[in-house]
Parts: sequence; C-alpha cells; structure tokens
Amino acid sequence: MLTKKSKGLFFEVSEFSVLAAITSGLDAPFTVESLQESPHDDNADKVRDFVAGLSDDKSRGYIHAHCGIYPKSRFVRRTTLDSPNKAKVPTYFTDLLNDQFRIDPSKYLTTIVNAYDGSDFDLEKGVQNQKELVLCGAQSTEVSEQQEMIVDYGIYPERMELGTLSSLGGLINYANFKSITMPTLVIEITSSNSNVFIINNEKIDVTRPIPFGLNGMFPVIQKELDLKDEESAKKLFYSDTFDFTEMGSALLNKMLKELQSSTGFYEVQTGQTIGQMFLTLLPKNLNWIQQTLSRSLGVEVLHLDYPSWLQSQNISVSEDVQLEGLDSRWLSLFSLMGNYSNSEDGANKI
Amino acid sequence: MALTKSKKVVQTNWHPDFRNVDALPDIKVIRTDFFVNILTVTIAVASIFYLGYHEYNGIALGSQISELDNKITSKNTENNKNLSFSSKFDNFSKKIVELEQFVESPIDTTEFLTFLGEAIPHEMILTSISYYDREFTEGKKTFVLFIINIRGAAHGSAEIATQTVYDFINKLENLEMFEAILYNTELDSMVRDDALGLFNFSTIIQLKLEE
Repeated sequence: MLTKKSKGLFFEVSEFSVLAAITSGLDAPFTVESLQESPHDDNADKVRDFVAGLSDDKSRGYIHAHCGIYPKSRFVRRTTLDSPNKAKVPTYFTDLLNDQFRIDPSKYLTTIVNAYDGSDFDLEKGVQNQKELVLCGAQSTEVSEQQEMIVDYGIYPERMELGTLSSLGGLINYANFKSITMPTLVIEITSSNSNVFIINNEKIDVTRPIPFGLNGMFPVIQKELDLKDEESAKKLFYSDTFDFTEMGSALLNKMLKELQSSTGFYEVQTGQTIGQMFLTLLPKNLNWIQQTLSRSLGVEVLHLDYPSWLQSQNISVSEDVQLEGLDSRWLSLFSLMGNYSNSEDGANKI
Repeated sequence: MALTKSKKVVQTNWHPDFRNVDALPDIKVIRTDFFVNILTVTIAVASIFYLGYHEYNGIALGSQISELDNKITSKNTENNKNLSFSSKFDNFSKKIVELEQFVESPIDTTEFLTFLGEAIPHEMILTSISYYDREFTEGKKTFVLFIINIRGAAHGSAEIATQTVYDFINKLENLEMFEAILYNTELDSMVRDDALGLFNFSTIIQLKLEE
C-alpha cells in the first residue's frame, strides 16, 4: 500500500528547556529541517502550543517523535561483574541496586546496558564479554508522568529514553569520531542533583551521582547579595541580568570538591589525566558555571563540531538550519538521532 | 524488580525505551485486528455462499434427474412399443419406396415383370432384381445407362445350367421393349453352389436412355 513518508521529530524535555528537531524521517539517513526551542514552562498550554506549531504531519492528532526525558529520580550507575556466574543468580541485580546503589527495584524501571556499546545486556549471549555494565532507570511513577506529559503535549512517543544515557552514547560516538583519546569528564547539573561521568576508550568508565544541584546555590546567592529570600535568588540566578562569574567559585565550591575528588581518584587509579570536560543541559545564561569549573579544574571545555559529526552519521542539515553557535545542550537532542552500534560500525573517524 | 522488556525486544544501542505502551493512546484509524477479522469473515462468508450455491445447484439437478428418470421409466413400455412400430414402419416404408422407385423406373416394369414370369425356365429361379443409373462417357459424349442386375440360380449340370442362363440372356436381349435402348448385356458371374447343387448367376442389362 502506498503511504506518504512521514516526517520525524526528535523532542527533548528537561527542566530548563524543550528542544525539538524536525527531520525528514526518524531513521538515518535524514535531513534536519528545523531546530526549535522553548523554555520549559509549567504552563502546559504554552508547551502544547509550541508542539502544535512544530509540524502538520500528525496521526490522529499526534506528532510521532523520539523523546528524551530527565526524570528527577533518574540514575545511571556503572558496575563490573567480578564473577560472570554471579549475573546468572536471579536476584543479583536487584540486590545490587538495593545494597550498593540504594535503589528500590520494585519502584523503579531499570535497564542494563553494556558500558562499551550501550547494547542491551543479554544473559543468553554469555557474560564473558559483558562484564562492564551500566544500570539506568527512574521511578516508574515518574516515568509514567513524563509519558503522560509528552502525550498531553500532543506527541506520540515512538521511543522514550533517558536523555542522560543517550547523551553519553553520543559523546562516546563523538570522541571516537574525533579520535579523542584522553578521558572526558561529563557533568550533568540540574536543580536538585548532579551526575558526573567519565568516558574513555569508547566506554563509560565512571558514573557518580552528586547530591548537589543548582538549588544549593540559592542560599549562598541570597547571603552574598543580601537578597530578601531564596526565591529572589532563584529569579536572579536564571535571569540574564547578573553575571555570576566572580561568585562562581563560591557558588560551586561543593561541586568542585566532589569533582576534584572524582577526577583525582580516577587519575590515580588509571594513570590517565582528564583531557576535557563537557557540561550538558545548562542554558546559555548559566555558561559561567562551565567556565568556572573549567578554570578551577584546569580542564579545557570540549566544544563540539556538530556539522561534521552529524554528517558522519548520515544526518544532513537543511540550509535554513545553523549549527554553528549551538551550545552544549543540543548534544542531547542530536544524540537522540544517532544510531550507535559498536565502535567498529560507528561514526567515521577523521 | 520492574526490569524493562521481559520479552526480547532489540533496542538501538544507547537508546533503551522506557515507554509504557499500554498507556499510550490508540492511534490506529482502523485497528489491524478489526481489519484482519473483517477480511477473514468476508472470505469465510464468500466461501460459504459459493459452496452453498453449488450445493443448491447440485441438489436441484439431482432432483431434476430423478424426475426425468421417473418419466423415462413410466414411458418405457409405450416407448418400446413405439420403437417396434417405428421399426416395422421403417421396413415397410423402405419396401414401398423401393417399389415406388421401381414403378417410376424408365422401363415398363409391368411388361418387364410379365416377360420375366414367362421367360424364366423351370431350371432357373430368380433371387433378386436390382437397378440403378450410371453416367457413362464414350469419347466426348456422356449419357446415362439404366442398368438392371438380375441374380438367380440354375440347376443341372454345368453345361446345362450354362446353356439355360445363356438362353435366358438371349431372350432378354431380344426383348422388344429393349430393342431401341439396349446397350449391352453380360453374364456378370456364374458360381457353383455345391451344397445346393445350383449355379448362382448374375447378369447385367445396360440400357441406354435419352442423353
């Protein structure tokens, strides 16, 4: 039966922004026809209007999309199977989540992927080559809420995934594409918590949650600037009216300690020095955070070459789309588009 | 542990899917199940109708056959009687036609038969008289010969029988009614029948009629 080829939509919702890419399809090769963003608003009508304006290509009123979400309860944790036979014990992973990661498996949706290539962990394929694993997931209720929210926006999710994991996959692919051999420090900061990752040698090497987020800065801002309350500090923080660069070290003191601890331990363990860092999610007006961290850690910021990286994945870009000047947030959206298998099948190296 | 994907679903690397598919809206315009069911039911109904139609036709034909068989059986006796009459009629009709044709032949058949009755010697019997027309071409001329074939038998010794037959043929040749039209006569065959002690003969008289 002849059917019209449908357009594709890649859609990401974080607490800071809603990012969308209209493409000629959902599977490469395709063309990115348009990039659009909207501040994430608690007013669902605004986001609904934003989505409605993205495309006329709808099925029963819904635009089909691959979606990335960032539930607050999300976790991405690294583990190594000491004994392959342990994985065959039915309760091994549930015990691991409970005991080691303090995660109640009964309340969480969890998936296990290989740290090297992000493929599903499959016991039937044998565990000899599946020792380095990443467990990730989020609370079932929160994932359901996120799904309901996306559907309410007018989007039918063809796939709904953790933006954190796909971003890491994208960065690994990028590092391979650019032949980056030194470890990369990846920092994901949200309002309530943060995640630190180190990727190296085409795999996720380190995962570490940090119980510190942007909210932790508000009391310091309030005190430093003698503001009325934390709410005022929050408004100022997210506005474009104040440059927090000078206060950066003070505001990020706790974060820096955690980061220095993580990177120092890693460098001692592996003998490798962190070569570059990458900050995901944060909007442009919080760019000072990246600069402060880079300066304090003495690590260069990784600036991504989006045009050539997308091209290496058979993703073309229409003339109306300007990739130069896009900040680091767009990595996560572009990572949703990638079809990453193992490194041998991955992006072409320069 | 609410691990995703209890059944095997191949996921793209780095993109595990966390959707609850059951909670997603139904976006199918026509559900596949409905479509398949409708198609299946349609095929089933069409098949039943097709078979039913052929079955009905078969039954109807069987009924007609049975009815006709009964009619045939009831008409059998009368039919056989009619066939017998028809056969007799056929035979008589052939004889009548034959006689009619004989009477209508170009010679005076009454006179010829009278002659035959008088000319046949005691030592001879006639078994058949047949006649036919035949076109004959002599040089550039074409004409019709009326041919009479007389068959019979003569008894006695070979010499006497032969003489008897030749005498008979001679009389035929000298018959006044044949005078103007006699073309040829010949003894066609003469064969001894040892069982009966007779000599069967066949003689042909060729009469040349008007061109």
